[in-house]
Amino acid sequence: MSSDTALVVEGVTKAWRSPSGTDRRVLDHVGFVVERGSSMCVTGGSGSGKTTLLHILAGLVNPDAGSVILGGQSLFTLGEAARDRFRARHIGYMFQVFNLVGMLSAMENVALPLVFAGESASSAQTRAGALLERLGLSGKSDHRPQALSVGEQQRVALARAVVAEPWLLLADEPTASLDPANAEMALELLASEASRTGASTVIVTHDPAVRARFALQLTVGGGT
Amino acid sequence: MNLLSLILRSLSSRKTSTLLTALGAALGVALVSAVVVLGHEVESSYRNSGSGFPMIVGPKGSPMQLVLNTVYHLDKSPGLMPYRAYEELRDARWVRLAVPYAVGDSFRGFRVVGTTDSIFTERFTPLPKQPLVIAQGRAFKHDSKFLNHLIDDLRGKAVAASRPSSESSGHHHHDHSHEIIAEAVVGATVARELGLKIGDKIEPTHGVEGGKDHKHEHLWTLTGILAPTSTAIDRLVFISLESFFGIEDHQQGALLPDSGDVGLSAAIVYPAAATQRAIMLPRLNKRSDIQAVSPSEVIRGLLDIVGNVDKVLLLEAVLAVIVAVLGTAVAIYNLMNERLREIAILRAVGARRFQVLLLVVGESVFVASLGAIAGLAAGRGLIAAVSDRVAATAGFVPDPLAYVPVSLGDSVPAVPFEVITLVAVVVVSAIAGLLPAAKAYSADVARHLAPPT
Ligand SMILES: Nc1ncnc2c1ncn2[C@@H]1O[C@H](COP(=O)(O)OP(=O)(O)OP(=O)(O)O)[C@@H](O)[C@H]1O
Ligand SMILES: [Mg+2]
Repeated sequence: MSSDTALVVEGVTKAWRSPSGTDRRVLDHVGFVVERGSSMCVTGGSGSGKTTLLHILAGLVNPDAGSVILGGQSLFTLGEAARDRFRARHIGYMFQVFNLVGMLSAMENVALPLVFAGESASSAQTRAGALLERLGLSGKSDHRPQALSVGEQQRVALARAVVAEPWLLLADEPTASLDPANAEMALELLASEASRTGASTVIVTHDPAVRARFALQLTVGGGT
Repeated sequence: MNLLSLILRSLSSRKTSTLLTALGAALGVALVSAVVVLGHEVESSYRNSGSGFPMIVGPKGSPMQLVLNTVYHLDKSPGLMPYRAYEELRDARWVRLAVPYAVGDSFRGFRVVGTTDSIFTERFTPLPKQPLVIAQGRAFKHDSKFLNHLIDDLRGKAVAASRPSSESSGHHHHDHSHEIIAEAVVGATVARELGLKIGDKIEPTHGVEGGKDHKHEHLWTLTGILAPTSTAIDRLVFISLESFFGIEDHQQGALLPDSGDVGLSAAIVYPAAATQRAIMLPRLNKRSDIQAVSPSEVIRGLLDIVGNVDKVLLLEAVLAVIVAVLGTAVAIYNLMNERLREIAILRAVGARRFQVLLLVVGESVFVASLGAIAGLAAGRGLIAAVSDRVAATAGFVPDPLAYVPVSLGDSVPAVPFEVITLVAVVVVSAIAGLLPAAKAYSADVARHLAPPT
């Protein structure tokens, strides 16, 4: 088992404090390995901690215990600023809602991770433009997200997640707001971009049809 | 796309709020700019014309009134001094040039001064080292022999008027009006505002406020127009002293029965050597019939008063700027809650805490600076717009493009006040911007990434 560019998760535990003041453990010693270039699907009921897990994998939320190692780098031993930069370079995230930045064009949204990773503005725009073209959005790169269809927004979100050729691609319910045809296309594109860039993929879904595509599966929130 | 273009995008996506807050800063800064430039112009112009007139001799009374009336042509004339005192000064060894001023008339709102052609032929320098220049035409004709004759004649009347009996009538009475050459030279502003040309006839009226008083039924021919001086002289009409005294009305008012002499408003005295001024001022002031003042000293006293008014205004203006700049930060702060999601997204795609801090501080600085630059320009524009009004009411012409340096100490070169203002606005807006920036800095990324519920 090569740890190089693979995702290794061990003993991740997270409790959220509810408004009533009691702690509720949503993740309890979660551990798994996703090899380079392969993918895993996460399932579980609503409120079971799927999004929380992805946030931890992205280094956005600190776990109470456990470790996340990506490409040999332990996320939570990095300082916060270094972790932000690491995320910009090596982790792509598609959110449960698309979370595109409304004041920026499609192309600028896609270029954001490259810019924060320290790439020059012009080269970031060039790479973003090329990627949008490959995803069939060449005519839309100057559009604001609000001027795009839901399916198009999803593809822009995908482009933003993969543009930096990350080691790890995280996708939270990528098909939830799409019709079946668009959902199918989104999954195809996601798979092809992941294999092109060699990223490991972790997808959250509650759709059995989507789940069926993945050999590797993890169910969270079993305890409740 | 870098941090700066993110700032610009963010601001342009909220145009109305951006423009309104920038406008607030602009108004405050325009006020500062106008007060500073005007204050500078008041000071430099008053200081300049103070040194352009080394000494003024006039009747006993308020030195300030004498200076205001003679140099700036404001206020009323403080009275009359004996013509004989002027003659003494004119002929004194220590005096290089003595210029008589007889005031009290006006022509369509512009004050008239009766004087001699020495203001053109001698080195009469209303601004330091800058003699009067006739831009068009020539000086008015001045006949000193005739003037002396006329003065003698008037003195006779004054002596006669001082006697209780009425034997004066018929004695020595000449009507000179038909012999007088009545010509006038006007300042640049007079010519421009009234559209006067060489050869035009003008008809002064008695009194300096408005022109309601009856006319003299004498016409003066315009022979010359002066080049602009940016002083009160631009708003004057100069005529010869003999044509001034030739008017019957003036003769009545100009007689000083007590001294048996003709009255003159003032004399501007240029000593032959600079040191003479300090020696002669106290000597002249010992006399009971005249006072002598140094305009620059009187003006220094005036500026101390004006300077304080200035400082209060400036303080208010600076407070207005601070409030306006704080306003830009508060406006950004108020919108921050709606923007936390956007901030969280930026963080999630790799922006560091410090970068979102810079983004928000940058917005505050950018809006405030934009407003400040507009305000600095508007302040200058305001000066340009009121410059004619100021000229009419304060006796000088403020230059909207005046260079207004601020000294930061002896070892550092002075910089334009605009630079200081801009730096101050940047610093204050950066500090104020930390308030909303702190909110962005400490935003809980994971929580704000969740779909809005
Ligand atoms: N930042 C937070 N602070 C406090 N509680 C949180 C926070 N984020 C999530 N939770 C709580 O943790 C639990 C798990 O939330 P999470 O979003 O991970 O669920 P999920 O499996 O993604 O659900 P869904 O399928 O509805 O998206 C929920 O009860 C939620 O209220
Ligand atoms: Mg979720």
